Amino acid sequence: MRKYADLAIIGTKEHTAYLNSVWANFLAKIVYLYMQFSLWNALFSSNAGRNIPLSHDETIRYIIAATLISTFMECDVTMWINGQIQSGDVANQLIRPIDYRIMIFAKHIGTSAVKLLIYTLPFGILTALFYHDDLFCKEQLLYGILSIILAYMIQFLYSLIIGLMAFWLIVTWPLNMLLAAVYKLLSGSWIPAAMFPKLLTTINMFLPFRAIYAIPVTIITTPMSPGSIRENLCFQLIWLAVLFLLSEVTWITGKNKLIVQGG
Amino acid sequence: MYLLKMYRHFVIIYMKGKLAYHFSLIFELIANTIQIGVYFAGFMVIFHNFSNIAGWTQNEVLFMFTTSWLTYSLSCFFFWSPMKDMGELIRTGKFDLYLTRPIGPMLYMVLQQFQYTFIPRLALSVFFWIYSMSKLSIEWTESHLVFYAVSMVSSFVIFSAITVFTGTICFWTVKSEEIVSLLTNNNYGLKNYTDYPITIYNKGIRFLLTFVIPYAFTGYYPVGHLLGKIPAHSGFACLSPVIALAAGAAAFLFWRTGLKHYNSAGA
Repeated sequence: MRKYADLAIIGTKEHTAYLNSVWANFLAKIVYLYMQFSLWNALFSSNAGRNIPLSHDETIRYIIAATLISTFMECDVTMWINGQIQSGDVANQLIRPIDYRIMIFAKHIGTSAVKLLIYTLPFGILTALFYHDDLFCKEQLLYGILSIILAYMIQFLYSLIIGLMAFWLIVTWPLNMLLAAVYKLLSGSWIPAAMFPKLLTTINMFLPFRAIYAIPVTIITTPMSPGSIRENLCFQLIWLAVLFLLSEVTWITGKNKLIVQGG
Repeated sequence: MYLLKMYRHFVIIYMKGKLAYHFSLIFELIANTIQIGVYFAGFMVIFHNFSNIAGWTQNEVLFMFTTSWLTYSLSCFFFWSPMKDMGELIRTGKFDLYLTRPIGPMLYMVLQQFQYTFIPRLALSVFFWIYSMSKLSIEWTESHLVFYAVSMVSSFVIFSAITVFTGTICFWTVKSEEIVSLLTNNNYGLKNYTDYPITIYNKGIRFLLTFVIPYAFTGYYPVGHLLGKIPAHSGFACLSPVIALAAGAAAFLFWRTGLKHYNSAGA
């Protein structure tokens, strides 16, 4: 356990090493949230009386919660793994008596913990100063937190799998860029998934993306029937299992394929 | 004329270098196309449930922000990559190399590269620009045409000036990635604010976008005036060239000062 804790601490140190970038990240979140806030407010106030799947309040709560969650959810796992595979450094990591994936996970947890402390907490306080109503749906808070934890794991496994693609692709950034764009739209971190047109909703039914933002954020901000909460949590669990198996397969086949520079 | 000839030579060499890895080049273009395509898709999704924003219809907003994106992509062909690399050049002392050339360092840096990764953005902007124009009934009188053309040139200058500004900061701070990304990042950059009519923001932000970082003059004011959306501020629309001149001159002077301030790494 000790060694994983050490790895986690390394993660926290790496993230806070550049104070300027911490400030910039924080400011970026504020800039982003204010834009989202103004945009949706303006959309709702200039279209009064239209039939819209989410109410004004729900939408605002949704985007605030989504931005809040994004402060610790996003990770550099894909980048770390890509870098280590490209440079051949992964061979050194494989020699160690710890499982590579758990090692990465420990570091990721460390980074997220520090992000919770330096971004999520102040950001949450800041939002509370400006948004006085209840942001969260109290009755569903526990389910929401459970759903966020599941989403966190799904997001990690997804990033892990994409990161491991470097075994085959070597040059990975175009794939990352492409998937980041798809992820941004389909996960619901940008536009509430309930607003999607029919076609997009149907496509999204069969993809894991909405398990990362749309589901946890909806559970935590919008009152739902117990049945649909259960349904959504099941969706997340199924994807967690599928991604876990997939990551297992990619890891084993990828590792066997690995030839570090020089043979 | 000799500049054009030189640019042609440089671009041919640059592209030859890039084409040596043609797979990577193709993937870069595809990835960029999808990234920008998704942004447009998201825009359509946002308007799927709504008919207008602050009195602007979907096509009017589309026309406004493609106007701005068009000139932005053109400006980025020249200025984005050199200014992005400034920090690196100064950190490593490689900027010295540019000072020894027989032409000015800025000119040299602009000419020696060609940022083809902005082609997808330009192409998609042009596509949606034409699409939105065909949906709107704008009366293209001569004065409108001249006004629109002048505004576009101004917008090109404004974008370039802002890019040069962010690059020049590196002479003092050695690093400007954070500022660049705060301004132009596709997800959370300040530039995204101007993809929508600026009346949706509060007074402070409107002031910021008008007078401090004049992004509003690249789309909102000129297009708003053209579509007759901003009768209260139509005077602002004619200010575009003035603002562009001021921003251009300021960027030029700032660059000159920065250049004088530069005394190489380790010296």
